[in-house]
Amino acid sequence: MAYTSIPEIHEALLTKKISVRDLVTETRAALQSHESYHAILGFYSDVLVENQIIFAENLLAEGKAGPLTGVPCVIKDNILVKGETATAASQMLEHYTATYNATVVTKLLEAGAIPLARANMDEFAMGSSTENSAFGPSHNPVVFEAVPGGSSGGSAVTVALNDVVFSLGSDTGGSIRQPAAFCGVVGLKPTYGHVSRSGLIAMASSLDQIGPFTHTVSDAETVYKVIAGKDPLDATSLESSECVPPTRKPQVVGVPRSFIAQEGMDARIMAEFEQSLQDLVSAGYALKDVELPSFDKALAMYYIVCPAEVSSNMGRYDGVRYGFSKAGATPKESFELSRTASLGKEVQRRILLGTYVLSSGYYDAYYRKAELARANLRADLARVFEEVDALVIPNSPVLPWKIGEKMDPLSVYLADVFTVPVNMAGVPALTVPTKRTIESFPGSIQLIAPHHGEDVLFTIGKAFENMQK
Amino acid sequence: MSLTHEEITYLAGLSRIKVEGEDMVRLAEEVGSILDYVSSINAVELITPTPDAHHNVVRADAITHEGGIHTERLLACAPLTNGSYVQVAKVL
Repeated sequence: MAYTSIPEIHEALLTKKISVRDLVTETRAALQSHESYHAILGFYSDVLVENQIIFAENLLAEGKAGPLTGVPCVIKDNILVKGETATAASQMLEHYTATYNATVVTKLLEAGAIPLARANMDEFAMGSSTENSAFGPSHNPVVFEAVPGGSSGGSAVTVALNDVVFSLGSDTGGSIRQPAAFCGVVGLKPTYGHVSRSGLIAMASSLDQIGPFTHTVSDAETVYKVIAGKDPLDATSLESSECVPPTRKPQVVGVPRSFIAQEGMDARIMAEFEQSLQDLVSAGYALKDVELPSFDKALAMYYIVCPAEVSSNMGRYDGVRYGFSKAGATPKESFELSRTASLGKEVQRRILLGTYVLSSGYYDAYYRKAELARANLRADLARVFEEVDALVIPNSPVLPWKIGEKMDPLSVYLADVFTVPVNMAGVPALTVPTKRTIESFPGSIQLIAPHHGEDVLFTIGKAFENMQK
Repeated sequence: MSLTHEEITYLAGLSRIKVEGEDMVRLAEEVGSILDYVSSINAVELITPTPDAHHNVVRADAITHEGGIHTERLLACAPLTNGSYVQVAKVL
């Protein structure tokens, strides 16, 4: 596809260099040409796309076009589009038709964007590679045999291959940031509560957030501004008055060196990261070493809280009102047959783990302890954010592995070490790729800001991006 | 630690999932090793939390839409229906 940014498309549409219809045709062809990457699970229906093309063309003709009007996009298959299939990459929902639009989809449609296809992902967003998709993994856009990351792997791939200039993913423990890093694109996880979760198939309700994949920080900001906002349908979404951003001009970036120096941290990633730190200095930022002692336990906290919430959220999949259904002699047997046959290994594992930490006799020691310990993370962040405006860390301690290589679930979990603390604290974070490579894979940084500090991320992110030119 | 097969069977029962054979052996080991890792939470000393922006939100206990307008679309999702009811296996 010729265009690589939202403003480029906007300009081309305004000056009639291309029509919305032709742009959609080109985009569809681009997506189809990359079928081997298995980034998408299906196209949205002709009716939906046609209606949006006409709507976008009208907005353009009336001079009412916004930045996303007429811009095609891809949406992770755990975000509901009314009347369209939504599978969450699970056999449980293989034939499920969404009965309403996610709020973010309503906002994109009202802005005139054109959702074209639904992206592959790890089943029910559980995983870091798309290898847990019930419909097969996606492939890394740079090194085909490698994973693209996950769980929003497909969404990252379609932007990395430039089939679309933006896509939506979701991030519960790193599922936007890590695939953004593995694929070499920008990925944003907003502050918890900034983007509505209504219509996002729930994984862990206190951790999930929807966010964009783009080529540029500016485009991530554009998409974020369209999808963010208080939603009466999501009780955890915040009023703008409750979202008080930091007021200081960002000047100092904190580097939690002892946290970054994880056992298992790839030295090559560390070396590239050091060069990124120099880029920040060249961009005019001061660096400061900081300590975040509570972060050492963040992964343990996450793999208690997340499975607990997962086990609760997965309870609705019983084959009664929707989804895969296999009848037994009793309701209990029907639930067991339906669930066992259609939920994948990782999903079942997390349900069992979550059930354990919530069960009588273990609830206090595990779930309650971990949930309360989240305050330790927030306190550490509040303390360091008095002296620094943002933090910078890597996205992953390991490079993208070969599809099928990592068999041990715990080793996959350990690779989430740099992303989960962000969700546990609820703060926003932004992945920005570098122009350097590590064994062909893209380098990247992860910027973390205080709650409601998206503007800090965008400011520093853009400055860092400029250093990559 | 590895969980016992009894423990896995108990958890599976609560979760309405059937675990048997090879899966039983695998899951006892996997869930056990993950629990080993997360047990490090024991060492965390809790602090008194400061309140954040989030608080309980409820909506008014009022009717939000005309009855029946979603019925057809919702029933279309269910595997077994009877009139405007979702049908389930006999409970009692």
